[in-house]
Amino acid sequence: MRKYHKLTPEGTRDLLFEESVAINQVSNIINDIFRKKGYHQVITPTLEFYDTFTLEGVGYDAEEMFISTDKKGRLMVMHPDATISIARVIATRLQDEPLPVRLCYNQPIFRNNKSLSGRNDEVRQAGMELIGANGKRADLELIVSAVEILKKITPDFRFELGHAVFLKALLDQLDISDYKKDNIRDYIESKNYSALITLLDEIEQNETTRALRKLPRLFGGEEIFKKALPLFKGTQAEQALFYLKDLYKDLKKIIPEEKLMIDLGMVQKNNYYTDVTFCGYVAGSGDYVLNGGRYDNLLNHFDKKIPSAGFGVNVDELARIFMNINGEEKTETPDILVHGEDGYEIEAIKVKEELTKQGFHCEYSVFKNEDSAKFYAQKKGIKKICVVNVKARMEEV
Amino acid sequence: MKPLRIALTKGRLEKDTVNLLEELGYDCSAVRNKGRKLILPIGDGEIEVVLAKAADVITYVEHGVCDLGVVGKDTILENGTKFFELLDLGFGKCQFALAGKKGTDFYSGHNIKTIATKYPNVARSFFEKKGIDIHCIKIEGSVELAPLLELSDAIVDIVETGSTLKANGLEVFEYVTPISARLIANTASLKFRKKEIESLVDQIYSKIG
Repeated sequence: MRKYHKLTPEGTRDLLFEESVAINQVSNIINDIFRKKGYHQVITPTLEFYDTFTLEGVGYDAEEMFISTDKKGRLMVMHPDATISIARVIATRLQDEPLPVRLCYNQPIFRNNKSLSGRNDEVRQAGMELIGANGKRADLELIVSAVEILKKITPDFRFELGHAVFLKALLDQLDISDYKKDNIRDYIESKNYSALITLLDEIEQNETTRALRKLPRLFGGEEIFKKALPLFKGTQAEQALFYLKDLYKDLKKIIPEEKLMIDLGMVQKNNYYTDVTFCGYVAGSGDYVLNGGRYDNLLNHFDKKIPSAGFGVNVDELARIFMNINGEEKTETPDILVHGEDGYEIEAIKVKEELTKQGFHCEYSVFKNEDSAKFYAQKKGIKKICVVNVKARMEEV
Repeated sequence: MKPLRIALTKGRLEKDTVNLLEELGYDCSAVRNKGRKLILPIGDGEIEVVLAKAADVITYVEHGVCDLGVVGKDTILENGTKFFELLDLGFGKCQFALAGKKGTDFYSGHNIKTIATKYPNVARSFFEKKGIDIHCIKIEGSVELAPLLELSDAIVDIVETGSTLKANGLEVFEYVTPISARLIANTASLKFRKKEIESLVDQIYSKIG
């Protein structure tokens, strides 16, 4: 049998030194914002039941997840999403908490991506969830925090607003199977325009299909509101349009207009969003790095009626961008190698601690004699060696 | 300012695109005398052309290392995932077709039909819509050989004039879908470089109508 013991699976990678430092730096920036906003951190298990993530209408496809079984043969998955887990926690362990509850997380999620696509299957995601609040104040609290994160990473970002109702209003008017509606949703989400047109060509042409063709192109600045109004006049989406316009006006106060955009064709991968949705992009990244929105019906699946909203950011991708902008933080070479001669090993540890206290970056020699310690110091580029016997002797290498 | 990077499918689509860009007044001499270079500046350096194989055009655009791409709809239907399709450029026109030995009735009999193709996803989805189960065999080169050697009952392939089919005693049973060259864009590039991309698209649009 072929052995794979020297490889990591496709879609995963070892993060060495600079890369993991950058992830920690970005995580600290994000966690700090979470804390200052009054959000409380939770960690949910990596392994959860398949059932949690395959809820009717809001779940994931089996082929998108890593699936295994537990000892009783029940299906388990590596969680592909953090928000659904948080909804589960709210509906169970936190069900008696006074609302609103503010939670945040920063943990890896797992997606079984198409083979050889160059995407990572394990992605560190951090996010905020504001549970038990709706309306403009709640939405603004989240959006302002999301923008703050992007701003901390780079000034070259774009923030985009959308709303789940535009697509939903149009789909509701179509007399086709749910399967086809799902397809339309997927095609608009991935901006797969040709597949969308092919599918729309197959069904009866009317006002709605004409609007669906236009939807993926309804993105841009403030002018979009004027363009979209005739398409949605008199439907439930008209209110949403006015709401977005209102939000847009507020957000202009904190985001320069050229960085703030509208995309009425925005459809999120996660189909639990019901109202306002948003995405963040940063220069140098080919896809969105932040996404979120309002998911007022998700808790219904856990027998609770609690309006909620939240967002998640791709920490790995932000760390990559952060590293490109700020340069790699080099792993430091120690200043001094502290070597204890035979019988003075414990003294050497004490000397090392003393030197560290004085502000030197020291490494403890694990070599059997001074010569091999010096040889190692030379190879590593450590400038000084401190040999400890009855007295400590400092030497240039 | 970084140049707008556009990936072109090597070969005919590349030539047609270069013609189009020249008609718009861009200096494309670097592409015309490219030698073995794969990344070439055009105009005053505000656009950079990358030459790639069709499926790779999609990959480069999807990952955002190229902002725009010119690629046939055949490749989009076979490999397409996440990018924005901006324009039908109107050139590179041909058809996807189901073809086989002249005079045979493809749909007769109850046996599962074998289809040879370079485009397994296109073939599968075509028959899935008809509710027909098929065997699909991927062929890399001249697909026309497969029915002649009796490896398959038919082929799903690109047909332009039909002369290759005719020369080998094959005929089109059915057209699957028309194909032409498309201008595609990375979704994030579209947010960051909206003005530049829109102005290019408007210029092209006014030329091809």
